[in-house]
Amino acid sequence: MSVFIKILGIAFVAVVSFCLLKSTQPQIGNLVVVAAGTLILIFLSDSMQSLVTTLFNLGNKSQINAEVLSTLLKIVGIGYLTEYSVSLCEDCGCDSLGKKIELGGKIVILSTTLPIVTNIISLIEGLL
Amino acid sequence: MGIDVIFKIAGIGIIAAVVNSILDKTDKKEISTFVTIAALVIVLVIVMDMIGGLFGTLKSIFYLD
Repeated sequence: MSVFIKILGIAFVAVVSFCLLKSTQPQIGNLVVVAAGTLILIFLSDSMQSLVTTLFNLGNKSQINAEVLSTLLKIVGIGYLTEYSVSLCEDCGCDSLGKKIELGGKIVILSTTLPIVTNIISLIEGLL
Repeated sequence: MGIDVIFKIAGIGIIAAVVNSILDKTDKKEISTFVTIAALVIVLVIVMDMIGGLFGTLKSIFYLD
């Protein structure tokens, strides 16, 4: 809960300084917002770390093979990074770049899932 | 690595704005552009360093590489 309060404080300070700098130095104002977003994600990273490790332990305990789990984790990471950079591009006003990053993220996710899909299909062929 | 980074960046912006307005008053326009560029470079270095740290931690969390 305290992390959440800290995040709200950071966001509020960033909004105030953005409004302060909007008239005289718009570029530095944009960079303050980007820095605040990065800082919030850095604060969230340690609680995310504990979340991911507990999920991993649960997965290992239930005999899901590690390769599928690591691919799943990689996809979540790629989605997280894509969402962060898309919102960063939209902050600074270039939405078209954000759309391209989104497309790139989808393609990378598809390419990571390819081996799993192929061995599932080969499994099904074996059954038939 | 706390909220002081935000204050540092906002401070640099405010100082750059003040110096620019002073330089505009004494009509030294070319120096004020240099001040703006210098402030922007300093802020960029700070922000890039933070983003690099963030990407490093994310890579370690999600075993991306």
